[in-house]
Amino acid sequence: MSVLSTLMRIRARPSPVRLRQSPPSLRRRVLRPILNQWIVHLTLLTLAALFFFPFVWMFGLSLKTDEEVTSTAVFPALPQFIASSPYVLKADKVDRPQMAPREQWNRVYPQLLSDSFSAVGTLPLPAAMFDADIQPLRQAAAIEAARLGVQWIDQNSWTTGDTEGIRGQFQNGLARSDLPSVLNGRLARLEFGDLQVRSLTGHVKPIAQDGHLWKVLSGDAELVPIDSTGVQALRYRFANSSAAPVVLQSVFDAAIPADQLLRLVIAYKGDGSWNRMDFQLQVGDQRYVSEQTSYIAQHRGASILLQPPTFLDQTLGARNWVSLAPAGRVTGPASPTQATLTLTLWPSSTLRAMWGKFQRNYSRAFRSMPFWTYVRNSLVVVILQLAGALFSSGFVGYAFARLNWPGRSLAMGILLATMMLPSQVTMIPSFLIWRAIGWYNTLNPLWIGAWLGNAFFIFLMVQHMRTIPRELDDAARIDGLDEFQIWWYVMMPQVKPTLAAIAIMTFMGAWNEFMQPLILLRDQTKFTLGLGLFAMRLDANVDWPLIMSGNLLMILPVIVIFFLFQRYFIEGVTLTGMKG
Amino acid sequence: MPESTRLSADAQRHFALRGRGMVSLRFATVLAVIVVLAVALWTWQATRPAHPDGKQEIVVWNLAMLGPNVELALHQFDLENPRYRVVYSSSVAPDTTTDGQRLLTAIAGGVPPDMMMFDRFAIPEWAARGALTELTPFLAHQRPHDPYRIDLSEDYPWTVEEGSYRKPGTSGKAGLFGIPATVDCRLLFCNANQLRQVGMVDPRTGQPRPPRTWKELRALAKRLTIVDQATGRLVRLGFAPNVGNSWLYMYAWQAGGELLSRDGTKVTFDTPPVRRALRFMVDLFDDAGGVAKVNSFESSFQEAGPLDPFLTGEVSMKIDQTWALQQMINWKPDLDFLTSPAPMPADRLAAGAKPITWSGGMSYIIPKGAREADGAFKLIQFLTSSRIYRFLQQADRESMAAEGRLYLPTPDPNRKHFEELESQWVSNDPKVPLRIKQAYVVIKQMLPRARIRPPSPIGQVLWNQQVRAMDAAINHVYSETVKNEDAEVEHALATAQRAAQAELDAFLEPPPPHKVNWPAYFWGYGALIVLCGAAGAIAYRRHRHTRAYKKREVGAALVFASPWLIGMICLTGGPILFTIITSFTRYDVLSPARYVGWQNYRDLLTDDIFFQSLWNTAYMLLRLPLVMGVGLIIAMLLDRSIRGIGAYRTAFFMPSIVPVVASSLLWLMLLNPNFGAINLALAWIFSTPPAHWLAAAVSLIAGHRVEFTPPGWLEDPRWSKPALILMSVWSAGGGMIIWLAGLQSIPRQLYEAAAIDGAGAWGRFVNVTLPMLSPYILFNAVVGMIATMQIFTEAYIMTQGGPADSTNFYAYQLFRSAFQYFRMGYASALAWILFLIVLLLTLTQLWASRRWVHYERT
Repeated sequence: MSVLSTLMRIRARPSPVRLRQSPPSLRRRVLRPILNQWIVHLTLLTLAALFFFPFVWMFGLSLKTDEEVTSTAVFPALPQFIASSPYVLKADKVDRPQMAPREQWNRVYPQLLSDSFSAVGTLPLPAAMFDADIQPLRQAAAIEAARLGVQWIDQNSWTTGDTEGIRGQFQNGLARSDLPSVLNGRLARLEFGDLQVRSLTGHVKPIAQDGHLWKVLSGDAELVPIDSTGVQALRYRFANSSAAPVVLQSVFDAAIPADQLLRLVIAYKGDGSWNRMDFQLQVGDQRYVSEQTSYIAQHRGASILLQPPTFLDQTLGARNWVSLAPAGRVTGPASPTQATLTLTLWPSSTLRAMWGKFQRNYSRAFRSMPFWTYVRNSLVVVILQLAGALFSSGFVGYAFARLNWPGRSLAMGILLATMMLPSQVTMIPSFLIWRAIGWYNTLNPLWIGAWLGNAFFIFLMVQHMRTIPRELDDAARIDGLDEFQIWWYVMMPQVKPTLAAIAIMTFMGAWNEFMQPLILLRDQTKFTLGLGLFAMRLDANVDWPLIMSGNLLMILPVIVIFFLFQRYFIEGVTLTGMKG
Repeated sequence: MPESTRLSADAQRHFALRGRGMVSLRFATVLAVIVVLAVALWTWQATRPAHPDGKQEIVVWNLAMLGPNVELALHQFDLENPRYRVVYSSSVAPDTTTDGQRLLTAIAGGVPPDMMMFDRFAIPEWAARGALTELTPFLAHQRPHDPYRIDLSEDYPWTVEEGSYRKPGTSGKAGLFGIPATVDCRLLFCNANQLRQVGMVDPRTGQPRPPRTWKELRALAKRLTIVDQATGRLVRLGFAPNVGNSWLYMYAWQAGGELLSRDGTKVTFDTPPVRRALRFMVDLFDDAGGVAKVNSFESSFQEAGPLDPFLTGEVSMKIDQTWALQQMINWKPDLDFLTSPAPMPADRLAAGAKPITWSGGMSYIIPKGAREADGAFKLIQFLTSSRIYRFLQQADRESMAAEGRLYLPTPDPNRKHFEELESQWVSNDPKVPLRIKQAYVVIKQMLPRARIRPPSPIGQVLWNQQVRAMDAAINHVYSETVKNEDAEVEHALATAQRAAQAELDAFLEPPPPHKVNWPAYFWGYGALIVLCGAAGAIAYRRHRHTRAYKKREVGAALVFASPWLIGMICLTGGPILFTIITSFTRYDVLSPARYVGWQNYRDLLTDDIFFQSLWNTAYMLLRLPLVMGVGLIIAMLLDRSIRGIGAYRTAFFMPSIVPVVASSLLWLMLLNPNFGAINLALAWIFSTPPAHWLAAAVSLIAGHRVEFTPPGWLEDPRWSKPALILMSVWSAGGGMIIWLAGLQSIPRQLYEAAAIDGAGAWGRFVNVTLPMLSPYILFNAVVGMIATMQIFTEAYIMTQGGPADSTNFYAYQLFRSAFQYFRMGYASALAWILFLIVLLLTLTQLWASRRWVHYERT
């Protein structure tokens, strides 16, 4: 069956020669082939785009923030350098209610908008904003307010066409809506709420200093108290993207010494500017610096957890905190509980902001599961399976292909029959066997099978070995080689293509494996990547950008290996598809 | 032959190396063995439990319900109890009942976790099978002045009742197997603005008012539902029983019915109150235009969050669990809504019945065989204490507060703990909006009179059967068998009741007398192997001369074949024998297997789910021609000399190498009906003029107006299987490579000859390409068929068999029977039937292939 080797080279070949009686016209000779080529390319391009699109989409989704998940765009908006904050967020236009006829809506909507604009116009402006933003803010808020007011309109009013009635209901709705929060919601503003210190014993100490928690150390910035609860808004301006950072500092009594500190919680509301925050903390004489840079990614309220090394680093749960690395000791603190927190706000150039957005979900994915533990487990399984499959298929294949022994054809029949056996048949008893020998909850059952030979791989090997001329091993035998030497020196070098194909298929199979780990592994520390990813999906619930990032991280090695060994992949698949 | 000269050159090079090669072979082998042994030893070592500090480990699972700060609480426990160290790992199942599979395997594997949180309703079922440790003795041995002493009299009594078990039909005190950990209850939530819009206001106060009776609910639901007159699609759904979380149980109780008799021995689905309840549910669905319409409209199951249809105003009223409140506050704090007890039939209210709610929740359990049961109980005491409840709630509240969100205390089984906290954080907190306070008034009022699903050893079956009865009735499955709607409801209930009762009877009847004597089979199997060996030896002696066996060669063959022989004997043959035997037994892993004869096979033939899963799997066979066809088309496009062929090939091939877990998660998202890329694209396509023209043309033919709408994919029983088929078509690139190889192996002369004979493109395809490819087609059909019959991961990850059992594939049903319902015997029978089906299909294909497969003579 030399078919094998000929099939392995897939190369483009010239199309069949066309036989014609008369010499073709110029149109036929030149135009047609070009046209044909173009049509083929166009079809192929369209199809390839369709097939490739899910990857692109997954990649796009993995870059989105959770505020962008529901948007219909494939890729998220690109962030830009934001030189000054607060700034005004644009409002999308109000959707037509389902029951409202289009022309009616087009007529009434401008009136409603002007109603809502005048309702918003009388409101006090949010603190800390720049004067130039006042008018745009009111316009954006008017649209948002209109969205609320429209909900108060009785659905039947639309069909009666009573404009005044509709406006009445709308104004009534506006009057009952929380317009100040609508106005505030359109302003992106960096706000700092209270600080909490949490001790290792779980005690909480809020630190409030009546609105003077932070002070500006350097930079073109100003802290403005925005309400009575002590929340401060930061108004800042960067001359350009390489301007000096804004540095804020807070000095407070942490109430506990450094060795009892679990975490420091900073409540803040982001301005979505993708500018960056770094932290330095000093408690008593112990200094810490933050290990990760926090990009200000969102608009809604959030909290930053600053956490020195603790027992939580050993757990397997999501690490949603910013790690603090100890950075030496300083001398002469006033008291062991005296704390100084320094926040450095760096401007992000457009490029920097894009990078921040690009890596955000990926770094979250790394921190929300014990990724490297999973990878290590998967690698152990993959390597041992690879070694096992390469060894056993060639080794056992030799017995079937070359050696003459009683019962060989019967055994071959059984081998072929087991290829048809659904894995479910042996699922339960194998589980009981692994349990009985104490291998439940170990990685061993996941790879040991490969060492005992996979029926399909043995079959492939036998098929290939049979095509190798017998003269070779006869010659070797005459030269005095024994069977093992013949296997190793004569056979194995000949079947390298099949070995490569088996290696690829084993790798894919092992990396893919889901059911076996699901049944046989108990502890999260032993999960393989596939199972771990699935577990993370359950934890992350609806955090699809995070799940898709994890997904891409799992696919990436396969794709890299695919590109490195593309030829063998294709040979492997070709072999699999070969007739028996 | 140039090939063989190359080969022998290779071989000669190797012979030349022989002298040095001997050493390097030995060296390489030794090295390989050492490396493999080292890695093997390392995996073994790494997977052994280590006790470096002499502490006892308490392995804990699945405390996710306690919130993100649970690790902190566990650390407190470690600090206070230096003897122990808590090892916590989270769950790996889409829901807690499915996680039962992991628990079962762990118990059966002899290494269960020491403690875990468990769906309370499932406790009696597990206790009945001896999988759980009874906790009554632990409670009795508590020290009287222990600060962490558990006092169950402070808990809502039904939380204790639900976690207790006593064999149905027997008297005596029920044993307690679960300490209540969480509670929820189901309430009616109404969108106040929408009630106002349709004028459902209290005439006295002018404020919107929720419906109180079934009649009011139904009328209001009708008024609130908006159907797009043009397309007949739902724009807004007033109310549907299953949007949110309410099931037949709840409506049956409202109507005064029960689903199980008081002593737990009779299933009572087919009784007048239950019929009335189910009829009410059917009516509600029919009012909204039928369950199919509601299902395709309702697509919130996968996106609890800002897209919940109640929050977006697309559902006006729903009965849902208490955590829905936190959802509303999180994602739509300005939503004006009303909370009230679910409506009751007016006549029942008139007769003095009080509104009811249905509660569930989680309990702490200690599995049988836990090594640190004492420590685990200590941990339960710790976690249920008032201090830790407050600690956790406080921690969650602070994290929420830090994000500017309001935290609502979750109800606790301990009434005192909950009401204290509630009065502090809700009732007496001026910052909490009035509508939330009102909701908590209702919760406090309803919790003491909550109803629970009756504790039963067949709880899961009972649940599944009521779901099936409901599905059958609301989908009008029996509309052709029986004449009117009442009869349909009755038929659905009676069918489900029969199935559930059979299961209950099987459990209650004394176990079959004969236990399986495993050692006998073991020795028998051993004898069989020895016999095979002996047969081989005899064959060797007898045919030594005729077949030219050589002693050394046979010896070497034994060595070469040994890995496979060992694997065959231990990992294939033994298990096959085992499955054959268990398929004739009743076996739940935890107790000895007992013979039941052909019972499992008979059960299987009378089981609708078996046929449903078979049908689902058979349906998926449709993907074979599609996948092969698409692959072939692409391959034929690529089978020419064009530029960039490598890039095209890569693009088409890449999807087929994506791991199943990853592609399942990806497609779960792509197929999302609301914002998945596929439906966004479809919606755009359907809005273009050509689609309108086509729709108009179809309407003309169909005689009624037809409008194209994107399907609900995985959330619609009619589209879930096509969705999965679409997903497999995506990975058709794997097959494409095979076709490409096949196409290129076809001699060009054949095409030329055909062209000379006057065959057109189509003729050449049919008469040359297809016959020449037929061996590949056969092979791929067989392999694809075997793979399709075993389809599992997609169902497990993406749909869990739903919706309405539409993706409950054979292998998934097998997995469920084995690891969820503990029916190993039944599952083994399923496995054998599967094998027979696969065998039969393969043989049929091979037989039929003689007619159409063309093998080239070589």
